[in-house]
Amino acid sequence: MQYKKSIRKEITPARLRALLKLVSREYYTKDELESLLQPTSLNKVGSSEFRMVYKFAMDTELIIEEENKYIKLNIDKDIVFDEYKFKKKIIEILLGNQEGLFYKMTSWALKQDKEIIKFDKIGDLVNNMRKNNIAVKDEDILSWRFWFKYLGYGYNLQDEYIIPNPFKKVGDLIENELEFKNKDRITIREFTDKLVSKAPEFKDSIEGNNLSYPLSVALRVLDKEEKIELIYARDTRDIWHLYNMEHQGLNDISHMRIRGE
Amino acid sequence: MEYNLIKRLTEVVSIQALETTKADFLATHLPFKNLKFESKGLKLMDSDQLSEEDYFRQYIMETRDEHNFIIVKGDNGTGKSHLIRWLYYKYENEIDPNEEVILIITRGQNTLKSTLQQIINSDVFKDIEDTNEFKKLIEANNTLKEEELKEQIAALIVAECNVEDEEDEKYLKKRHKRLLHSFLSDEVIREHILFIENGPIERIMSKLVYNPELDNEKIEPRFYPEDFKIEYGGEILKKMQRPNERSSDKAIRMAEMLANEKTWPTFKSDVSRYLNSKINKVIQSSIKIGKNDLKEIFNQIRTSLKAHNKSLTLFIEDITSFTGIDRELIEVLLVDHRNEENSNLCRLTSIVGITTEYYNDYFPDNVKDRVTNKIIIGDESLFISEKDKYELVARYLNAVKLESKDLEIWLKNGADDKMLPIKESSLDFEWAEFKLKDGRIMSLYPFNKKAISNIYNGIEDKSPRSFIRIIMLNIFQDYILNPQSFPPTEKELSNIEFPRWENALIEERLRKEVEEDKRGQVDTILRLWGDAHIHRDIIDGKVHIGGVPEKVFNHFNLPLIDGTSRTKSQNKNTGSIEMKKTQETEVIPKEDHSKKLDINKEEKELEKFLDELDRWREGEILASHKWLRDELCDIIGNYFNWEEEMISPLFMKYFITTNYFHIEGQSVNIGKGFLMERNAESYYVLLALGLWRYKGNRSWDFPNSEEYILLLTNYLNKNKEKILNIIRYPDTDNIENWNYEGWALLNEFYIRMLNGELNLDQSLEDIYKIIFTSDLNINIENIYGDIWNSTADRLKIDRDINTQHKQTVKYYNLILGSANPETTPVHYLDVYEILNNLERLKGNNWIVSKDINQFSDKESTNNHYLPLKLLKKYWIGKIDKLVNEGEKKLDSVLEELEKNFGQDYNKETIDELNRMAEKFLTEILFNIKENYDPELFKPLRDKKYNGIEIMKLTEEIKKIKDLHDIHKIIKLSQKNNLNIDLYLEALNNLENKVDSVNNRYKSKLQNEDREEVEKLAETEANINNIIREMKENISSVIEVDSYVGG
Repeated sequence: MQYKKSIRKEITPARLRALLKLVSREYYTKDELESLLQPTSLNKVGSSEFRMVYKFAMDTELIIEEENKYIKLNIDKDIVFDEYKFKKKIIEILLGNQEGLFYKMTSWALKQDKEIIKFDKIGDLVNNMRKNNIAVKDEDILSWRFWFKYLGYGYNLQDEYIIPNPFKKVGDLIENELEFKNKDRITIREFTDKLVSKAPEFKDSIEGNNLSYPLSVALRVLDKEEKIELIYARDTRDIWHLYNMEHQGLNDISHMRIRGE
Repeated sequence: MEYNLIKRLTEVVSIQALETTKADFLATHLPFKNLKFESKGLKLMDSDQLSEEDYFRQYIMETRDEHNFIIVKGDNGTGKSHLIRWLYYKYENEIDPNEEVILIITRGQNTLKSTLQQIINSDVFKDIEDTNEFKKLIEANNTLKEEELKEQIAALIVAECNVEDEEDEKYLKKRHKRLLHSFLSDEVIREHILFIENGPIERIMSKLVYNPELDNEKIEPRFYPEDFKIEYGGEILKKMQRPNERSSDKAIRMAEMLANEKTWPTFKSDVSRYLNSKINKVIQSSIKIGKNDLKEIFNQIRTSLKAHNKSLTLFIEDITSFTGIDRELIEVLLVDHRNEENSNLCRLTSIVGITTEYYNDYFPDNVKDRVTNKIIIGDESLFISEKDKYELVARYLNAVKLESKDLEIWLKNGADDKMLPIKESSLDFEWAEFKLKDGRIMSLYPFNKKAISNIYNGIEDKSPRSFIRIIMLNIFQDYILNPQSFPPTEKELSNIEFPRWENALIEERLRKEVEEDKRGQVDTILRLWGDAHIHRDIIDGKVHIGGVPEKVFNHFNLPLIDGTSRTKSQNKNTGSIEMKKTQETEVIPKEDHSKKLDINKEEKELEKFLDELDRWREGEILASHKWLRDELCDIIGNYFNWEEEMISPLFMKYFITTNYFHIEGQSVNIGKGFLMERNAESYYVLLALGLWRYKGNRSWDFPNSEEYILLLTNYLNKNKEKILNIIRYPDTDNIENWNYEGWALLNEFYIRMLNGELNLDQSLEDIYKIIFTSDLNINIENIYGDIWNSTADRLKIDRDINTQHKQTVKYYNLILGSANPETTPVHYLDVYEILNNLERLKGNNWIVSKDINQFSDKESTNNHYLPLKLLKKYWIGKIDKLVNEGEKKLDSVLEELEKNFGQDYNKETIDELNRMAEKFLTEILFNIKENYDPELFKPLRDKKYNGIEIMKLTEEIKKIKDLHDIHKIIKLSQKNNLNIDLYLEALNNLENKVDSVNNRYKSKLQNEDREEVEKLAETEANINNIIREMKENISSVIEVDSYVGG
C-alpha cells in the first residue's frame, strides 16, 4: 500500500524490519510483540516507538491482525529476509505515489546540482524544498534522511550533510531489474529510459542529455568499482553529459558496459 | 652542435675559477638599476639609489684625481664581482692607458697565491726591478707539495702557542696555551681534529692551494668551537688514555677541559678565537710573506708610477682573495698620497668587493669611517621587475647560442648593446620570445617567461648568480644533453620548489590521462611553464592548456591533455572559452611562496597542512594525524549503514575510534585496526579532510569539494570490508569461529542458570525475557560444595558481570540515528536476532564450542573480548566441576534418606514418622510436663516435608542422572528445590529429645515409690512403645553427623 504522508522519525528501517522478522517467527499478539521488542522494564521513561512502528506496518499492510488477535505477515516471508526485496517493497510503499511526500523529496534530491552538498543544516534543505513547492517540516527531513540513505539514494558524511549519490540504488537496479539486450554496449539513452521506467524518481535527474549531479556521481562510483564501464565513443552522435567534474577526465559518455559477469 | 653549446655554456657561465671573456661578460650584462649608495663613514646617512651608470659618472669619474677607497658590499652571489668587473671595463675604456695603470684582481681560484700571482704578472711590475725578491718568494711557494704544506700549517699553529704575546691574554691564559700546545701536538688530536676532512687544516689550505673540488668561496679559513667535539667516554678521550700509547697529561687535561662544558662553557669558543687570531700570521709564514712585505711592495709600485707620472686604480673583486694578508691590504689601500709623508706615492683608487659578513665581522671598525664610499647591492639592485629576470636569462641563453667569435667582433666594434648579435634561429618559437624595452626580441627558448618566474620563485638562494647557475647549468645543460627528455621532472629538479597545483585533483587526473613515462614532464610543463592548472582556453584561435600553448606540448613531444573548461554552468561541457590575446602584460607569478603576507589564518593553516601532507607523501612523518583520524572516524561512523551490515551501533561507537584507525607514518605508534596506507588514494582523502577543515571552515563549501567527496566515497567503498571487519573481529587474521554474539548470550544464560532463574521447559522467548528484561541480581540459593560456593561469591562481586550484561542489552538496541547507544533511554531490541542466537545455542546444548581455545592467547581488555574473558573465568572447564560437586551431594542425600527410612522407604513410612513425632511433641511431652524449643522441630511440622514431597525429591534426584550437564545445573539451581537438610536436622533434634526424656524417666522409675510408678505405668508403657518404635526408625539419623547442607 502506498504511503503518501511523512513518517515519524522513530520509525527507522531497522526497527521496522525487526518487527517484521519477529512476526515472521511466531504468532504473537500485539501486546506480546511490544513486550518483546520494547519491554517496559528497559524503557522506564515510557516509550511509544513500538506503537509507531506497529502502526506504520499495519497502515501499510505489511502485517495484519487476525481474528484471534495474533499478528501475521501480510507479505511473503522472503521479502522480509531479502534485503533487496525488502527495499523494493519499501520503495513501492514510500515512493509508489508520485504525489507522496517521500517521492517528491527524493526526486528533488536526485536532481540537485552540487550545491546540495554544501547544505549543512536541515533548515537549508527545508527552505530549498519549500521553494520547489514541497511542503516539508524539519521533522520530515529527519525521517526521510534515514530512509533515503537506507534505500541507497545517498549517505551522510558528517552528521548533518546529506550527500545524494544513488550508486547503491542504481547498482541494484542494473544488477536486478534493468534488462539489457547487449550488456557490452548499452547506449546511455537505453539506460536512462529503462532507469526511469523502473525508478521514476530519477525522471527529473535527466534533462535532455544531461545527467544530474547525483546520478552522474553514482555512475562514476559504479565505474570506479568496476561494476560498469562508462564509454565515450567519438563516432556516436548521441552524447550524454555527466555533471562536469573538471579533474575526473570523463565528462561526456555515450555508452556503458556491464562488467563483472 | 651539442659540443659547441656545452663549450659555450662553460665559457659564458663562470664555473668556479674559470673566467668569462670580456665579450661574453658584456653580452650577458644586465645593468644594475638600483644600487644603494652611502657616501662616508659608519652612519647610514646620505644614502641614495643610483644606477650603475650614474654611479660610475658621479663617484668614480668625477673624483678620479682623489684618493678613493670604495667598497662594494653585498651578500654572496648578489653581483659584487660582476659590478666591479663592469666598472673596470667601463673605466678601462674611458681612461688613457698612458695616464694610469689599471689592475683588476679577480677572485680567480680564490687563493692567496693566485691573487698575488695576478699582481706580479700584471703591468705594474713591468718596470720595477726591486720587486724581484717578492716575485721569487711567491714563485718559491709553488714548489711545496700539499702534504708538506699541511704539515707546515699545523706546525706553525702549534708553534704559535709557545710564543709569548700579551695580546693573547684576552683570549686564553698562559697555562692554557701551554696545555693547548701539547694538545695540538698530540697524535690523536691531529688524526681526529686537525687533519680530518673539511677540518681546520684543510680549510686553511683551501686559501693557499686551489682545490677544484671545493667551492672555496664559502669556506672560511678558521677554527670553530664545533671542531673540538670531545666527550667523556668518547672515542678521542678513550684513545688518548690507552695504556700503551697514553697521550701526555697536558694534552689529556686540555681535552677534558674541552669536554667539560658545564665547568668550562665558553672554553671551546675561547680556544677557537685564540687560534683564529693567529691564522693570518700562519698563512703569511706559510707563504713566507712578512707583515710589511705587502706594504713595501705597494710603496715601491706607487713610487715608481709616480715617477712615471701615472696613477694606480685597483679593482679587487673580493677581499677574501687576500685571506691571510687582508688586514695588511686594507692598510695599504688607505695610504693617501695627499699626506705630506706620502708625497712620493702616486694616487691610488681602489674598488673592493666585500661580503656583508666580512664587513660586519672582520672589517676593522677604525677603518670604516675612512672608506670613501660604499655601494650596497641588495636583492632589488638587479631585479626590479620580472622583466629583468627574463632579460638576464635571455642574454645568457643568447650568448651561449652564439659563436664566441660573433661576440668578439661585436666587442671589437665597441660592444654597443644595441648592436648585440641575437641568435636568429632561436626565435622560431614565439612562445619563448621576450621583447626588450627598445623592441628587440630575444629568445628564452627552451624556457618561457612563466618558467623563468616560477624557477626564480622556487629556488632558495635568490641571488642572481645562483639563479643563473640553476637555469643554465642545471636545466639548460640538461636540455642540451637530453633534449628528448626535456623538461626534467620535479624529482630531477629537487632544488626548485614547484608551484603547487591550483587544485591538487589535477595530479589525480594526470595520473589517469598521461602515461607514466611522460607524466613527470607534463607535470613540469604545466607547473613551471604554465599556471599550475589545466584550464583549456582558446587564445587567438589556439588551444592553451593551463596557459601553455599546444605548440609547447607538441614541441617537447608531450601528450596534450583535454584540460578543463572554465565554464561554471553545470552540464555545459562544450569545452573552451574563447579569448582574445590582449596587449602583452607582464606575467606576475600568481603565488610567490616566499611572500604570503596577507593571507588569513585559515589559509596559513591550510598552507602548513598542505606542506606537511606533501612531505608525508614523500615519506616523512605525519604530526597532524590525530585530528585527521578523528574526522575520518566521524565520517565513517556516518557513512555506513551499520544495521544493514549487521553491525551493532554500540560496537560502531566502540571501534570506530582513533584507537583502531591509523595512518602510515603517523608520529605515534600504530596499533591494531585499520591502517591508511601511504599512497595517492589516501593522500586525497587526507587532503579532502584538510580542505574541509581549513578551506571550507568545517563544511564542504569549497571549490571542487564534490570531487573530493567522490574520492572519499571511492576510498570508503574500496576499504569497506577492512573497516567493517575491525568491528566484526578483534583480530582480523583470526576470524574463523569468532562468535561474540553467541558467547555474550551464553554468559548471560549461565549466570541466570546458576541464579536459579531458568528451568527446563522454558521457551526461548522466556529465556530472552529473563536475560534481557529482568534485573540482574545474583542470589544463588543452592550450594552444593566449595566450587558452588566460591563461584557464587566471585560472581556476586565481579563488576565485569554487570558490564557484560549491560553491553549485551545495548548491543541489540536499534537506536535512532545518531543517538548515543551507550546512554539512550529508549530500548527497541532486535529480538528476532536474539532468539535466533539463543536457538543456535540451545541446538548446541548450551555448551561452549571447543573452538574458543584458539582465541585463548588473544584475550584483551577491550569490549570484544569481555564475554570470552568471562566464559574462561567462570565457565569453560568449570561446568563439569559444578555438576560433579552437585551430583556428589545429591548422592549423599539419597544415602541419608535411605539410612533414615530404610532402603525401600515410601510415602507412608515418611508420613508415619512425621505423625509419631507430632504425637511425641504434643501429647507425651505435655503429659510429662516437659518443655522444648519448638523451633528445633519446626520442619517436622512443615507440610512440605510430607511423604509425597520427599518421595518426589527422591525421584528427581534419581532422574537428574540422565540429564546433560547444563540441565543438571538448571535442576540443581532451582530456587524451589526442597531443602531436605532442614528436615533431617529436625529429625536429629527429635532423636536427641527422645533420648533425653527416655533417660530421665528410666531413672525416675527406679527411684520413685511404687504408687507413683504404677500411676504412670500406662503412660510408661505408651512411652516405651513409642520410643522404641521411634528409635528403630530414627536411630540411624541420630547417629549420623549433620551433613553439609544449605
